[in-house]
Amino acid sequence: MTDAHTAPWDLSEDQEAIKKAVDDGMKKFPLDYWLEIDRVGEFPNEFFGFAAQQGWLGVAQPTEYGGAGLGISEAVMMMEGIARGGGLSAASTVHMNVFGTNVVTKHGSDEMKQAYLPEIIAGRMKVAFGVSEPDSGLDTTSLRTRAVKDGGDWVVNGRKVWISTAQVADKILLLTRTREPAEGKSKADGLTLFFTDLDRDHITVNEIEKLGRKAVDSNELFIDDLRVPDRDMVGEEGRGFKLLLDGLNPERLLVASEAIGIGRKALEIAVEYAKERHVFGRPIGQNQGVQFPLAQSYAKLESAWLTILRGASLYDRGLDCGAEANSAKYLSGEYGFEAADRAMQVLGGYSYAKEYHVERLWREVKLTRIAPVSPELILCYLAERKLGLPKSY
Amino acid sequence: MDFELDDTDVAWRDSVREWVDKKYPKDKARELEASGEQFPRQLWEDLSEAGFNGIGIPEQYGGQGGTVFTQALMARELTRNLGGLIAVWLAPAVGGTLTLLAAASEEQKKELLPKMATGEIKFAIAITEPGGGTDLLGGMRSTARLDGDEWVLNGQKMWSTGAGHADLLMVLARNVGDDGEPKGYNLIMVPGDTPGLDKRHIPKLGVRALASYEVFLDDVRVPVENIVGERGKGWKGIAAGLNADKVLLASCSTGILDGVLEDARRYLSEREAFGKTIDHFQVLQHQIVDIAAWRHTAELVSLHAAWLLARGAPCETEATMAKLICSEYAVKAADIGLQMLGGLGYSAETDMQRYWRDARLWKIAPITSEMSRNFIAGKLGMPRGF
Repeated sequence: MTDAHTAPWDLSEDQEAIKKAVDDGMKKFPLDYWLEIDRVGEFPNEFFGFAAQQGWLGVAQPTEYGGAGLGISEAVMMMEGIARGGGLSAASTVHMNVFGTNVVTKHGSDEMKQAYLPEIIAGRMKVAFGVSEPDSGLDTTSLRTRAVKDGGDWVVNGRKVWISTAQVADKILLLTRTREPAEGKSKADGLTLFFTDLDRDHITVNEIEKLGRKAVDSNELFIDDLRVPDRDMVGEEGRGFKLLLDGLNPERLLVASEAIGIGRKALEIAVEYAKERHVFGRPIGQNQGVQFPLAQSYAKLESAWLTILRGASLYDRGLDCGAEANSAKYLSGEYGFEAADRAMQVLGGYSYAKEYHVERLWREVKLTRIAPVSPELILCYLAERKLGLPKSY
Repeated sequence: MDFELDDTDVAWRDSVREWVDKKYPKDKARELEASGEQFPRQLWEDLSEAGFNGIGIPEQYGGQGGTVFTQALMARELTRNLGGLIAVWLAPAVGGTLTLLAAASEEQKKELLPKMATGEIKFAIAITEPGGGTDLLGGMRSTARLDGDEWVLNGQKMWSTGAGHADLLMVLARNVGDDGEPKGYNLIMVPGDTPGLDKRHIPKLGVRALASYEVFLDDVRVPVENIVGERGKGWKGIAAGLNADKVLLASCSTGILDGVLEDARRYLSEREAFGKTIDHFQVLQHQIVDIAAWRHTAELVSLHAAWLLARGAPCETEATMAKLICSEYAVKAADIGLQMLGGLGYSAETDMQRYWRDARLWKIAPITSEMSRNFIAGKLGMPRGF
């Protein structure tokens, strides 16, 4: 919405207000809070409740369900601020509620929306996003989870992997194959989306130990004869994959803004340290070898941030933003990680100690480079769709 | 020029590789690292039993003999599986053995070195302080004062790896002269259970099963004979290990490159996407080639520096360059490897994340890449840039 103003590069009033509110709110959850959360690995319920109470979870949801009715331009401001305050641990705590259920908002039945969106926005309901499978990360349409019609229900069997928050979630968005693709159609045909109870009698949830973001669990799911009523279907039978595609660009913009938030925090810590730490009689920040990489990271983070804002503005105006969203995610993941890595180097030995926080940021920002799409596949997308080069895989 | 290892070295390298694959395959090292232990006692005992703790200790002192070149070959093979846990061997081998060989009295050597070779005594090094990493001596505040027949130590140390389980801490502190003024530095061995010693575990990014500590010395008293070398000249013992530390870390980094290359190649050849194994993709092939080229470079520069040091030739520049080159390549390669494994790379159930976290330390310690470059710039005759 920013571009509609006469000064298109200024933030809108809504964006300014959100930035201030989030920055203030995150002061209640300082880095030491997240250090402890990461150590014990428990879901940060206190923060989640606070975010709900502040109305953050509904920032981009319609007002009729209790949301703020704002767009992705405002959501990226918020996620950048949350990530800058608490890293990916904080961002991932709310990420699913903020945007993961957008497909329900857009394509769910009225009954479904009335029943669940207010619960999701108020933080009383957590949702897991059940798409990836062990043998289909980016090659999503080759997934093997099956849903078979049985009376008025569907019976689901299969496996899912990398399902975040499934330890604590009440609901799951589940992508399944309900039939083979029709003659002449792509593999995406026949995939159906359900929004249903995460029934632990029929879904075994095994947590995956991982490199970072311990507090927000990632899991492998084994689905065994899960019965899903017909009314839990989102959109039409066999057309579920296309619905998910609508959400990919805003998802990329949000993850990009999280990477920028983490990169900025790491940079801030490094700059502070470089000013204070005296070696050989002067602050280490006086060395060009130390200050140039930090200055360079600042410039890179700002350039990627502008790409995010541009992409969000296009999306909110209903315009195509594929190239911008993908470029933003690519640049932000790379630059966010680079900033954290440079901060590690500036803090020297202390960076390796958990209590200085850069260690956690470095581990966490790495995930924004891998998920939800790798930089490699983004380059494929840009090469094909934007530059018109032949498909390479 | 002859780039071949001789038969003895080849046999030695192969035997270490065989040992580590049998006793400490990657899975086992990964489990150990995730165990929450603060000292890998069983690993220490197994390394001792295999005789590895005696490599570099002359036979006359109960060791297996061998030079830093012998150690370099071994360090690479062990690190390929153990990753950063190699420090359980490396820290005492450099900070303990080399220091004693360079500065200790004959009596101290005869008493301590045989026990170090068998693993009966574990050393930890307590040199660095909160205020001084690279500017070690300039930032040093700890003091050692002589009181009758005892040294009295006060101060604070940082990053003492293994201090929680060490029998002896090798502590460097400012020497308080008889007139009360600081004069030089003393190197003093402090038993790990001496009253007045307090240790705080520092949770860290990598090498978690070998904990590092902040050490507080509050009127710690040890017998006068615990000094290593002459009073006021303690730096000599530490200086003896500086090049070896860099040379061996270059070899360890080469071992990381071995591990990364193996794991990445295996994964690419097994993982299918879009209907074929992903090692068919050109970009991934090119990255594998880069890693292979880095490993080749790392092997050459690390062995060259080790060879110079073993011959007693000057090698400050070569050792520093080798450490700089090898550690930076190791981290770059592990980062690419993690990217190749994607989500699986982020999982704690594969080794790439362990290589990535562990190797990252070696761009920082014992000297940062930045200070390495400053040092080499000086060696190239450039004016002091810091």
